This record gives sequence, C-alpha cells and structure tokens, in this order.
Amino acid sequence: MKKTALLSLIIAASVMLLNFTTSDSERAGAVVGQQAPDFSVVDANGNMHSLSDFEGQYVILEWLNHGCPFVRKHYDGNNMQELQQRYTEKGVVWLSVVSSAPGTQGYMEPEETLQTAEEKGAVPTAILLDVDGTMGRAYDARVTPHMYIINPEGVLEFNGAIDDRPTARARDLEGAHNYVVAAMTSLLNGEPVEVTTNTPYGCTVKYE
Amino acid sequence: MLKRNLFLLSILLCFLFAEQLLSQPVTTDNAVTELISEQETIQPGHTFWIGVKMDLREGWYVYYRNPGDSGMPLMVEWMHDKDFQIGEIQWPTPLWIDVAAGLASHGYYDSVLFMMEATAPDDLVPGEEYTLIAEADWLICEKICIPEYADLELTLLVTDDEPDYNTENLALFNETRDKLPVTLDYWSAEATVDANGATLKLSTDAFELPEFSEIIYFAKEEGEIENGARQPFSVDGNTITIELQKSTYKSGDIDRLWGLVYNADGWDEAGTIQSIIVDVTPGDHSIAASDVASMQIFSARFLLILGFAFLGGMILNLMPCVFPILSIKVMNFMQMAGHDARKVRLHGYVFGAGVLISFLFLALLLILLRAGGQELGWGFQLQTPAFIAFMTFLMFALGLSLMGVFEIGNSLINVAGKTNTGEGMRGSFFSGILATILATPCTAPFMGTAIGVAITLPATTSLIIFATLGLGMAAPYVLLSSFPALMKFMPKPGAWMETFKQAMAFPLFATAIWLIWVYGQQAGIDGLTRLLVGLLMLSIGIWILHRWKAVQISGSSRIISRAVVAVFIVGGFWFSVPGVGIEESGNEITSANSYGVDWIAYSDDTLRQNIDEGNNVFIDFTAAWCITCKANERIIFSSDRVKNKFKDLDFVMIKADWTNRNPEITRALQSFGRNGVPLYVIYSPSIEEPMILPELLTPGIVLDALDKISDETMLTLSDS
Repeated sequence: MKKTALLSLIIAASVMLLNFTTSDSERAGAVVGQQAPDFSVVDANGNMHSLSDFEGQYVILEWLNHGCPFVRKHYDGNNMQELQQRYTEKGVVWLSVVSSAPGTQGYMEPEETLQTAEEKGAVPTAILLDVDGTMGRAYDARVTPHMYIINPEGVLEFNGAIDDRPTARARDLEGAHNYVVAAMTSLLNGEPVEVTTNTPYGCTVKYE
Repeated sequence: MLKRNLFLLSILLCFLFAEQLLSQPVTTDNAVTELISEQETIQPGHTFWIGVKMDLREGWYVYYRNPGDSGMPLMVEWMHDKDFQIGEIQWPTPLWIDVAAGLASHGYYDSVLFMMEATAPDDLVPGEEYTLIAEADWLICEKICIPEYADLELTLLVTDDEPDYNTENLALFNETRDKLPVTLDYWSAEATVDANGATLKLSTDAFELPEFSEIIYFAKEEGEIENGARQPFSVDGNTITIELQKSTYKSGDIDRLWGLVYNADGWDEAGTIQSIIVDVTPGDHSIAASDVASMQIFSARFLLILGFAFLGGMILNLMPCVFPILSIKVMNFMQMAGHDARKVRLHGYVFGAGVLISFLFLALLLILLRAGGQELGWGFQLQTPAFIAFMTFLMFALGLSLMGVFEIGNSLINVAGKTNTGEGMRGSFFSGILATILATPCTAPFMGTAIGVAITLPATTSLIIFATLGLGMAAPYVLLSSFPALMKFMPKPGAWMETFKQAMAFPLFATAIWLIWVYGQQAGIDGLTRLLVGLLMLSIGIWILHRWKAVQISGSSRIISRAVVAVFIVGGFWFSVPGVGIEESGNEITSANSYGVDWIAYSDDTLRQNIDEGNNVFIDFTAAWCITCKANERIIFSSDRVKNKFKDLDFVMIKADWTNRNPEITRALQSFGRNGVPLYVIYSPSIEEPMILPELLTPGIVLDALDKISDETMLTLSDS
C-alpha cells in the first residue's frame, strides 16, 4: 500500500515535471490550445483594452498596416470590412492591431487612424495602437494581415493566414478559402476547427 | 516621286516589322520587365525557352517561389489564344535575405531571369508571326513592398528551317541555367524528423569534396520549415548534416523536404553548380537515392582508381621481399600437386584467397579505426590542416623507408618465419596470409598510401579498394599456377628489385610536396615552414632509429635513444601543427578577410584584461557561414572613415569567430541574451553598460555610435 502511494507520487511528480519542461521549451508567442497572451493596449480613441475585458466573448485579432499591399488587397476589395461587420454583429470582438513603430510604414497618429478607418469603412470593435510592439511580439505576429481567434475562455483557437491565396492581387479574393470564416463557422456551430495553424502571408510587421 | 514614297514606305514597314519581332520592355516604378525568347524563330511542335527578365531598382528585391516569411513570388498568367504550352517557372537559386530578427525572405536583387519552357502548337504556319501575351504580377520590396504588374508581349516568327537564336538572350539564358538547381547523381539525400524539426543528411561517393563554408536549404514550398531560423550544418567525411527547425505554423512533423541546397563553394569540382535539388520524405531512405549511390561506385573515375589499386597490388609482388616468394610458391604448388594441373590451379586459388582475406581484414581494421576516430572527433578530411600534416609525415616517412633508410615490420617477419603453415590446401591458404605479412617491410609504404586514401572514403568504397589491392597481389599466383608455362617469362630475382623499390620512393615524395602545397594554402608561408621543419625533425628521428638499431645497443641506451626518437617525431608533428585542437578558429582570422584591421581572437581573459586596462573595445561576433556577418564586415570595414575612427579612438578590435561553435563564445553570446551571430558590442570606460549595435550595420550607424563614445570621452576628460 505504501509502495503504491509512493509510486503514484513519483509518477505524478514526473508528469508535472514533464509538463513543466514541455511548456518551458515552447517558443514565445501564441500557441493554439493554450491561453492567449494577455495585453493592455490603448486604442485610437484613447481607451485601454485588455484580453481579460473580453472574457465570455470570441475575440478576432487582425494585424493591420494600411501601407501594406496585402492589407490593401483585403480593404480595397471590401473583404476585411465585410468580415468585421459580419462578426461584430454576432457579438464577436474584432481588434485591429497596428504594431508599426513611429516612422515606419503603417504607423499613424490616433486621429489619422480613425479618419482612415472611416474612409475605408472599417468597423472593428477597436483599433489598438501597439506602438512599441509589445503585443505584437507577445503574439509573435509576423505579417500584416496576421489573424488570431481567441475563444470565450481566453484559449487561442486559430493562428495564421487570412486565406489560401498568398497574393497582393484583389482579384484573388474571389474563390479564396477564408480560414477565419472557416474557423469561426466551426466554432459558432460548436465543432472543432479544421485548420488551426498555417503560415500567415503578407508584409512583415514593421516593429521598431 | 511615287517611287521615292514607296521606298520610304518600305523602310517604314521594315522598321515596324523589325520592331514587332522584338518584345517591349515595360518600365514600372521599381523594375524594367520584359518577356524574352532564346530563339528569334520557332518551329511548329518544337519546344523553346522563354523568360521574364527583370532589372530591379538598386536595393530592391523580388521573390523566390517560396518567398519566406513575407512576400509573393512572380505570377504569370497567359492570355494568348494560340495553344502554346508553357511550363512552370524555373526558379534560380535565391539569396537569403534577413528582414528582421528571426525572419527571412528568399529572393533576388539586381537582375533575374525567370525561365519557362514553351512548346509551339503543331498547327503554326511557317512565315507567320504569333504573339505570346502575359499578365505578370510581382511584389518588389526594399523595406516596404510594392505590388507591380505589367502586360508583356513577345512576337515570334515561325519557320520550317533551323531556328535562329538571339545571341544576347542565349548568353543570358545560359548564365541563368548555371543558377538553376540540378540533380547530381553522386549526391543522395536522407532525412529524419523530430518534434523540433528535421535533420537533412546529404552524402556522396565523390572522391573530391568541395569546400563547405556555407550551406543553405531553401524549401520550395512554404510551411514546413522556419524560414528565418539558422541552419547549423556539419561536415563529417562524405556526409553533410543540416539541422532544420520546424515552422511554428506546422502542426505535426515535417512531411517533406523539397527544395534546393545551396553551397557557396559549389557542389562539383569546378565549383560551378551552386545548388542541388533535394526531395525527400523523412524516414524514408528513398530507393532511388541509394540506387544512384551504388551506380556511382561504378563510375569511370572509380574504375580508374580500382585499376590503379589492382596494378599497385601486382607491383607489390615485384618488391624484394615478395618477389622470390612468387616463383618459389608456384614451384612449391607444382611439387605438392605432382604436376596435376587441376590441383596446382586449386592451390593457386586457395593461396590467393589467403592474400585477399588478409587485405580485407586490414580494411576492416581501418574502418573500425576510422569509426573510433570519428567518435573522438578526428576529422579525416583534407579540409583539416592537422590531417594534411599527418599525411605529409606519413608520405615522407614511407618514402624514406622505400629508400632503405629504415624498415617497417621486421619483427613481423620473425613471427611469420616461426609459424608452421602446414601442408595441403590449409597450408596454401595460410601461406597466402603469411606472404602478405612477409611482404610488410616492402608493402608498408604502398599500404600506407592506400590507407591514407581509404581513410577519407566511405566504408564500402575502402573495402572495395582494399579487395582490389589484394586481388592484384594474388593475381600473379593464380595466373602462374593456372598457366605454369608463363613461368619462363618471369624476370629473374636480382639487384634490380632493390633499385625498383628505391625508385618507388619518388612518387611518394611528390605526393608529400602536393600535400605541403595544400597545407601552405591553409596555413600560409609560416605554417608551411613549420611543417618543413617538422619533416626535418622526423628525418632526424628516423635516422637515429636506424643508425643505432635496437639489436646493436642495449639497456638504458636503447631506452634513451628511443625516447629521443619519440621526442623528435612527435615533437616535429606538434611543431608543424601548433595546438591541433584550436588551430582552426585561429586560422579563420588569418584566412578570412580582415579588411586591414588588426583583429585579436576572442577569449574571456583578453576581454576582461582590456576592459580592466580601460581600453575601448569592439567585439565582432561572427562566423564564416553567416552572410549577414560577412556583409556587415564588408560594408563597415571597406569604409576608411569607419576604420580611421576606430583607430583614432584606439579601439582594440576583437573578433569572436563562432564558425566552429566555440563554447567560450557561445557563453559570451548567451550573456547578451543571444544564441547566434551577428552581434556587435562596444565596451568603453566612458559608458557604463556595453553598447550593442544593431544586427544590420551601416557605416552611419557605426560612426554615430563611435561619435557618442568620443563625445563621452571628451566630457570625462574635461570633467577631470
């Protein structure tokens, strides 16, 4: 009896150790199936947003740089705005994140950010100004547009490309398979997401 | 008047006609793009090469098929109505472009030709012209990216005759062909995977290996490997091992390694083949690859080497210690078998088998030694200076032995002489082994050479070479016992044998000279001189060994003289290869371009000492395989302003060369939170914390940093 107790203790300890070491060896960034990194970033209106504010809601993150041809493809083709409209109407939080450092492509002052959004007809929940790139690096956001989906429990469900056409041509929007739409459809129907990670495409995020 | 107008009109038509034959380059903001053809005229149903030629704005680049972490490759859509079949783009070997920490792009600067094979439809009418129409889209980047597009046209004349080539384009297509990855049948690939990535092993049966200063695997498709991750590689004998990190976005293991492997020094002897094609499914040692490898064993080159090995084996019989045996043995067979031709022949074969098995045993011993040596980290390759020095010593010593300065294996003869081999077939077999041992004093020099060659080759190859040597040595016995009539053509033993043996020393000396030259290339004139002095010491040691033979002296004088010999020989070798273990990193600094800067090799002690003495210190953490490092060094130190500024501020320039993964440098990198190069650090008494410069340097960045140091220095001076 004593022996079994000792044995189970050892097993429990080694399992814990194993868990610890595997999570430790994981590279920085957001990993599907794990808690998404928290953030506290001010938006273009001056309001602070944290991931914990959106507990109980799906959150979609979109890395944004209006100077990037790949981003322009999705805005000029009205694709991104439609997605924003579609999901915010369903109570999903849509956060556009700008991690461009001042002086680099895509960086805008808050006022200009709001004005551009209005001109483009963009309707995200908020546009976060991650000026020092803290949030972008925490998520290991690499390109614009790089897309993430976080579930109501704060667990990452998707990390990757917006669709399967890695081009900057607006005409490629037609017939493209949109991974965000596919993942959100599965999630809202209570099904598992088919493609949870893939390589995002676009311009590199212009960190400082 | 009318005539004149007609004339003008015809000139105008000619002009228009000529103009039409040419394609029109399209100029966009950052590129000039043109659809070109290798041929000016084409034949119906035949294939020809066309291509999209791009001249890019300086500093801007376009992408490879797999663009890396960002970007988009060229896309061509064909809009003409005629049914020309146009193949995929043949992507030239790209460059690795570091875009940000840990991220990389794969692409092309300056000028590039994207070639495609086209097939003309069968129903083209000779004498008519046809136009290919393409819509090309591409992304061109510097720091930011701009999408561009062009409508391209190319008009071609159809002919029934031999096609005309456009000489200018022909040259450009051929130049581009050199940059395309190729399949080399003597390189095969294998891969294994683990949770973190994959290990790609490339191995070859080629006899002369190229240099491997920089190896990069470029995946043809996205999503398998991490594009920006460094790819550490190692070379071990005939195998190159490349470690690849799995893409962050890849769930599950890597499925396929498909792409090209670039070698900065080229894959062939001439160094013209930049990259080879690989396509392997991990774990699956592709059958095609091993077929290719075994085919290579029978290449013309290898057959030539085997021919020499066979000849070498036969020559062994002409050596003074073996030659008498040859005739005696064959006579012996005849006596034993009582002129029964069948039995004589059998004895010959059995004797030959004994010889062959001794050789194979020797080869096996060698393979074990090699495997053991590799465990110990000895590099048996001509790239390692220590190995070349060793081979030079071996060749020189063996040459001296052939000259008769000393003899190898006398004690073996004594043992052999005492052994009774017995009668009959068993006797013949063992006397075969015995003959091999008996021959040692004369054959050792040759065997030494063979061993030297074989030790650098894969196990199977060395086994085959040794077996051929054995076959060569056994051949005369087998031949003579089968055809005793040939005996009368055999030369008589005599003084000529000694002359022949001594003459064989000269090829060995010649080999030694070649090795000394190779060594000189690596270690410079000083290293070469050290090697020659080492050889002098070797010859003194050997002379003592022979002048005072072990049997002639006794007791303490024997021990002392042998100790002196050991000191001379081992000391001589040590002198020629100073610090066998560390000399490679030392070499790197002298051989790499130092841009006229007096570099000091990095060590913790050196650094601490210089900081304690209050010196300004610049550390360049670099590696031969790191392009960014090399690029930075070239950009920075080709600027005289930068160099003078360093000099004015009395900087101590330290180079931390990480080419060979020096653990001290690894620790130093870790202390700055880095696990790779480049890293540039400035220490100065005028700043409290060491200053870290960005990974991508420009003269401006360095000058600004140095200005800061000099300003601070001024301030501290005026303060005090």
